[in-house]
Amino acid sequence: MKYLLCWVTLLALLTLPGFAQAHKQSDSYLSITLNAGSSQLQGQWDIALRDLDFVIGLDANADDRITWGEVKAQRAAIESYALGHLRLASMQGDRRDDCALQAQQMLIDEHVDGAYAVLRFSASCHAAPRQLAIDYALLFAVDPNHRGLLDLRTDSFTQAAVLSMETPSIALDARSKNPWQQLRSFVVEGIWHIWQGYDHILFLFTLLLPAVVLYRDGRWQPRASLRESSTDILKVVTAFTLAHSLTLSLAALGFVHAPSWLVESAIALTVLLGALNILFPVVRERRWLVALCFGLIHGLGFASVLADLGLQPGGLLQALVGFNIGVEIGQLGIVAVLMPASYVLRGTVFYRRLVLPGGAAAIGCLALYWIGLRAFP
Amino acid sequence: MPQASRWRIGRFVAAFTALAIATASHAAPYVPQDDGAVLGLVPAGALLRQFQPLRRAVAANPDDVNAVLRLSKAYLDLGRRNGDPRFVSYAQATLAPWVQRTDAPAAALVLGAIVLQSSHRFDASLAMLERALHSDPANAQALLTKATVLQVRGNFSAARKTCAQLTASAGQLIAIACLASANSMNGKLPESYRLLDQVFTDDARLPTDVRSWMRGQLGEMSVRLGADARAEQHFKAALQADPDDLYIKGVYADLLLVQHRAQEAIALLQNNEAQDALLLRLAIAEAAIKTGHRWADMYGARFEAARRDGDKTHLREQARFALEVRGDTQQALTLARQNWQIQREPADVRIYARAAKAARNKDAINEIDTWIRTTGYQDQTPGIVNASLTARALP
Repeated sequence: MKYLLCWVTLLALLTLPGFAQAHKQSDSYLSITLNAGSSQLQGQWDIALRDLDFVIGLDANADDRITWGEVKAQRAAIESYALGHLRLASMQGDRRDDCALQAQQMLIDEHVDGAYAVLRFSASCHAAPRQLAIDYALLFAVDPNHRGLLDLRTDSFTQAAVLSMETPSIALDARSKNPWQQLRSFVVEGIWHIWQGYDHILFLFTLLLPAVVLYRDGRWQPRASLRESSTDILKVVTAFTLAHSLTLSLAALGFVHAPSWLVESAIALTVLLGALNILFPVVRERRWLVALCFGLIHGLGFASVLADLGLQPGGLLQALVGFNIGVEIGQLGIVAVLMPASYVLRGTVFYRRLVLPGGAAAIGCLALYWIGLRAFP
Repeated sequence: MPQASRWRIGRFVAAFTALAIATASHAAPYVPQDDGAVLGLVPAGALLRQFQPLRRAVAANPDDVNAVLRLSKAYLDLGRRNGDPRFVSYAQATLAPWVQRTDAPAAALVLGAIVLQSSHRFDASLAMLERALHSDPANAQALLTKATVLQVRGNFSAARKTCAQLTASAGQLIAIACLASANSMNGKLPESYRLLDQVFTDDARLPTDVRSWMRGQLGEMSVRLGADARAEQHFKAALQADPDDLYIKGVYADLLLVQHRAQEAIALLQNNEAQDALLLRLAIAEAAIKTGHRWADMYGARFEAARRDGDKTHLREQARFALEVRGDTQQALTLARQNWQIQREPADVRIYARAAKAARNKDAINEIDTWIRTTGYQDQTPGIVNASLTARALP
């Protein structure tokens, strides 16, 4: 029996993985501010009093309470411990110049998991850094899961990074270039989404295919001029853009919320209705109105994609603008391919008897299939 | 028009307020006016002071493997009692120089594996256990840990094989308890319950950990069997033995929440705001009786903090928060699916099944449905068994 007890005690230790990780793990918050053209950097470093107590011993009277007096008494030790575990260096090509760190002020702040010492310090580098190298080693010796959450701020942008025992060093670009890279990546995402999301393309098709023709006397007839067709296309594309930009923004900013299965089903429905409108024209002249109304729904669909990309609160506007621009570029690309071809073919029987009704029927069937798939999984 | 879209101004305002509060609390570092102002408490301060001589011994002589093992075991136990990952990390740091050595003793490797397991690095944990078993093939502690990790990963047949190896080194009873646990996930829930119930006779003379563990297993199996009253008896008995057992508190609170007894769940957990997993239950209870969103805001802030530092050990709880408090089915599914790739305990099955159904995601429903059919997983908890998710019928 003794045998049993010893090992079952171990079992108890094993069955609690979820609870062993209940509290928050140890983090510090390091924020470094750069001023354009200056070799002087400002730093603020928030370190949990608990962690400092474990490595330095703050609770002098051993009453399990850390008072401001006890923290103040250890100020020199705290500052030398902290700054001794951080290196900042200005990088110029292969050249590396360490910056001199100087403690300035100690304050207190509250975070979600308790009180932190706030160390303010300055860093004097040899020149205004183009690239800033950061080597972080705080607490790793006693807590290999400790992380340093770094914010590098310039007057125009903030870069974030997580420093851990696995990646204790990082070099960040200290000049304002990254916001454009980030914007560009969202533009690319937007283009991709339009091209990969067949439902958006097909919806546009149902509005653009009939743009080069007119429904008159019970059948489709070619429009007379390129100008007429272009105007129609311009109206449709503009209305669609306005509408989906509106709902995309509202949803991304958190004002509107709709379950994604509902949005996806509704988008499929708009494709079906668009296709039916070619086969049995109801809205003949003002298709831009259809684009406007249904565009609102497509915007909600874009928003869920944007949300999946993972947004930082500070970068929301950038993401929104970038993604929207990408969607427009993708859309214009489709128009650029579709319009010349349909304009040239508009007079042919092939286009009016085969492409239009056949295409609409195929799109409609596909939309029906999507509705079934999305609304009734 | 998007009659589809539901306006959730209330939720937005709540979120905005929470954000404003969170920002405000970070906005202004201050200099306390009074030297006597208490800024914070030292958790488990008295125990940590007791460890000081041992800590000094390890620092003075890192080659003293006995001191290293004692200190890391003490930290691990403290981490378990307080549900605090810092102590587990201290154990990891203490063991680090030893587990890196090629001639690392099996005991150090097993403790290292438990550390890895508790931060959900299951594959690394198994690799370290293989090292331990390589030098000591009959190490009962290593085998038992291995069986547990394999079971969490959903590899029940490998877990069973490992349990069987325990007979020689740890005795038949341990092997039986180990097997019952694995079999209960694998189509033999009622039989496993009966077996465990027979080998276990509760007695105040037994160590508390043993009683809690046995009662917890029996209680959880009862929940899955749909025997709620019996489950409650087991949980209550476990809490009588140890009123501060965080794990039992969590599973008991879940039972109360399923039975719409949110007030009792709050009474049970109101002093456990510090433990994220229990705070989550408080937030769910609060949402169920619509008494505000204080705990939800607290959990939301910790959720955000965990997201910022890339902590992936709370996915199960975060998915429940998204689904049961925020009603964000899409996020719940994303989190539950990520969690499913890592662990497959009953709680993980439940959250994935519920999130999949709430989001009406056909692929996810299929995946969990197939898993339930192939493993023979049995569970009568509401939300698991219905027309589209058919768990094996229970006797």
